[in-house]
Amino acid sequence: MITEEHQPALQGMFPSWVTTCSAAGEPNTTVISQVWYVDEEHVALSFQFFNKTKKNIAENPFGFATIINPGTLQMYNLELEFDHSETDTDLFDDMDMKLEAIASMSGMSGIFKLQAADIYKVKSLKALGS
Amino acid sequence: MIPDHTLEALANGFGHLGSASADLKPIHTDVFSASVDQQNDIVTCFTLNFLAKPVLEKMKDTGRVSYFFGLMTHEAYQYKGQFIETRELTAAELAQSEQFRNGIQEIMGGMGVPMEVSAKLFGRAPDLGVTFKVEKIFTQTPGPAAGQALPFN
Repeated sequence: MITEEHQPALQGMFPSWVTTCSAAGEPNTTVISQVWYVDEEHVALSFQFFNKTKKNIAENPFGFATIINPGTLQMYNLELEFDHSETDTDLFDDMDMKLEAIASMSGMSGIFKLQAADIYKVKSLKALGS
Repeated sequence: MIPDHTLEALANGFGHLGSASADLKPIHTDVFSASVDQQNDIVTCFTLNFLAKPVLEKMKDTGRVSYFFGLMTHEAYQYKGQFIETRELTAAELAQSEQFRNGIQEIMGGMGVPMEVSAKLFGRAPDLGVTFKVEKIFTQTPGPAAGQALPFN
């Protein structure tokens, strides 16, 4: 599902948007620094401080994300379903290092603290406007 | 009344308008600035109909709305509330959106994004207003206060 075409949008050049929904049906939209490529059918979201997103996913596993190719500004919508969290893997370490670099560059060092790499199954991937 | 200090980000921030279906599937769409009836806690988001259509189908079904918006400085807020209606945008709202989109394109130009590329996202005028009643407001600026409800009314 995720191909080479989508890879530039998963590099974190531009922030991504994520919407989740509570069990009571209340949506929550937020911005995150990056949606990470895991494999052709999975992505990871960084669990940092967006607690409402985390709470919603614990109640209802479905998410919706938008990623942007920084070269073309082509946007892609991803329907997601939470799979599992990782805290002791190479992926987690990679995410942690990059988030700290982003935090340093944006003057927010110590605020972007990675708690876990949350792995999601990509249910669909669609280019906006297609 | 919607707090004054959120209005700068409302007009000039990047925004995404979210909703969810009755079977709890979330969705969102891009917003190109928004106007406010501050006294009545009503906000109208400027959207592109062809992008917003799937969101509106769910929004009209459940009525639930989330609207996240933030400035480049990271100052950000989220309004949550109840869908009211869709409507045509006024001339003043279209002018406001044009000013917002031109500003974003200038910023992107400074980041090395050519105008013809940024125009793909920000060159098109919105053609649909999505109006909702604000019921809750949350601070979303990264930091210790992120997620806290802002008192209003």
